[in-house]
Amino acid sequence: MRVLVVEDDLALQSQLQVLLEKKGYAVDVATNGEEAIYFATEFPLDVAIIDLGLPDISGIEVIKRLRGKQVQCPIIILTARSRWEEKVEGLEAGADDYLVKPFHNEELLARLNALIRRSAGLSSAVLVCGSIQLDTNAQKVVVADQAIELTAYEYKMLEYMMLHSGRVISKSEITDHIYDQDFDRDSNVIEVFIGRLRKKLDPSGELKPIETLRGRGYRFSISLNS
Amino acid sequence: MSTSIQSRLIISASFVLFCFLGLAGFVLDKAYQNGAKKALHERLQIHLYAILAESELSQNNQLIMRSILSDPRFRQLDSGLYVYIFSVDGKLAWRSSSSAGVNIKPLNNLITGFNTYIESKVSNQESIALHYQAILEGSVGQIRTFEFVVVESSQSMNSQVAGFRSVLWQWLGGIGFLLILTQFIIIRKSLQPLRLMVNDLERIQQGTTQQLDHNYSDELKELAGMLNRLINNERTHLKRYRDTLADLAHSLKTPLSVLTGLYTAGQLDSTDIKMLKTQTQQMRQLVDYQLQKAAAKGHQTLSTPLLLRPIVKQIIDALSKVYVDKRLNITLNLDGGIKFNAERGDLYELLGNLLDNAFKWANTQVICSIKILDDSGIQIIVEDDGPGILAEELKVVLQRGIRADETVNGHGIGLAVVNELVSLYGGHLESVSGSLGGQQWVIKLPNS
Repeated sequence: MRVLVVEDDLALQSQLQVLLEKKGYAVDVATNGEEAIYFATEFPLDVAIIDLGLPDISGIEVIKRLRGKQVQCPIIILTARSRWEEKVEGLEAGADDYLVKPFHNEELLARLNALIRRSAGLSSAVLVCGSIQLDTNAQKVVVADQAIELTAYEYKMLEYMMLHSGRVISKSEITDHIYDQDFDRDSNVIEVFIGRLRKKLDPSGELKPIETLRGRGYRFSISLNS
Repeated sequence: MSTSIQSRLIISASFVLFCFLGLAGFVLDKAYQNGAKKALHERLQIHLYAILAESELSQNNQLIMRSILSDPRFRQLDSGLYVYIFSVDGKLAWRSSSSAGVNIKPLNNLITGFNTYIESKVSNQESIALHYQAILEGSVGQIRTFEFVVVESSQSMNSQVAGFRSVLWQWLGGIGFLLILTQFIIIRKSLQPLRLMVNDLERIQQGTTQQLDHNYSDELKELAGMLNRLINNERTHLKRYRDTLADLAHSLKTPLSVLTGLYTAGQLDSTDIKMLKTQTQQMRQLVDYQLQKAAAKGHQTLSTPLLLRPIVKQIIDALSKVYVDKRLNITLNLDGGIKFNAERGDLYELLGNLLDNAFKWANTQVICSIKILDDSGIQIIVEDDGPGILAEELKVVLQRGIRADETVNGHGIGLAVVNELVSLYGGHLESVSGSLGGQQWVIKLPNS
């Protein structure tokens, strides 16, 4: 999942970047409104975290401009002031949720998960595709009641594919959503991860959850129970 | 221009009075002067008629006077009253004996039968001359034209006018002075309630009294009431700021001591980390609560009432977005015209926290009803079909500021802020069992 963090306080920005990367997000960071608008319009985001008190353009104005430019990803606002008038203004401008500083990391992660799920049209934190279950909060995967161990990138890739099951996902789309900007797009790392996922999810080769569509990409063929 | 109301009133009133008296004096003086002049003209005319009656042509066509003119001044030298009769060729035909040594010239271009008055200096005296052309007929039918000139000194008329003028201005001056004095007294008397109010405000500032408590004039009663409310508001705010700071300092001491204990112990195990987390969370809530409490403003004495529906609608729309997953059924019973006099931010805090709590705990339904109470105020009811709050939890939830060392899971500081705001507005908050089976809050807020 690709997340944009817009925060002018560099300490908090870096703390959030480390936290989110540890949790498997591809993180872009911006320190002001102009940068935020650039990232959000140039890269396909899954969610954005925007601080309201930015130095150049206010967070609310950034959200308004993004919505004006048809950026539809969920947005969570961070605010140091916990006044309701400000929260309502942010939500009216186009944000989907708010978080008052200081906040707990767990709370932020839970809200992010909920927003991503909601934007995919799901209400439960557990994604279920046939016998494969992925718990987005605990970041655990169970296949036929057997827990399986995945690396962070394998998990990110599986989560993205399950959220978009039934749809053809190109290699570059996967790269955009799970890696940050400086990833070498010519490497064969995606093929390697797909191979590993297939082995871990379906060691016997009966389920065949991931199809390869030559020249077009991949498809998670087991549909999601919403 | 002076900034004192009293000086302004006195200066403007005096200016108007001076203009009025000056104009009146000028008009009266002019009227008197014209009257005196008219009287002199009439006198000259009477003299002329008497002279005409006595004048006749002799047989040799010479002008003669039948008898002596009745007014003795015509015979008295330099009396100021003279008669001259000129023939049409400008030669003097007759003159009164009073005019010896005093010469005047005829006008020559007169129309017969018309009076012409000329003002000039005769024998160094301001005088008025009446020139009149008449045709005299002799006993044998011969006729001859003469110019009759009657001159009278206007000195006595001028001194009469001057005497009148002096008396007139003395009276007007006296009246003007009396009127200004009366105005000064009236203005001072009228402004006395304002001075009283200023003195009372000074006494409040010095701390010798608490309120504007005199029986002011009707016009100032409303102002005094507003000032009293403003003063009370400011006093309450000051007290609240002081209390808030004291509360904050005091209640942060406990979690800080716990944290200090953890750091001095050296190693942190998982229990310590958990405690660290709890304590920092508590400190965060305390700071939030006290800051919100300090930001609350209360009834706005000099502001206009706010329409409630747009604010409630905005909050409900925003919360519906945040709690979209819950697919709640929201009912709003609020007439579009209902207004309440409060600070906008306070209304957002009060309604935002109440509704947020209802949205958070509701299973399927939230109802918000606001109506005007008969005894001047509003009633806000917010209810949900969630689990509700236990009676024993209620006190703690509402008194977070006081019982800072306890926490109730999931109830944040929102309701304590609501409670604080309700008491700031002199209102009443009640938790009752509602028709939906969950939590129902009934809040009554009086008008300011």
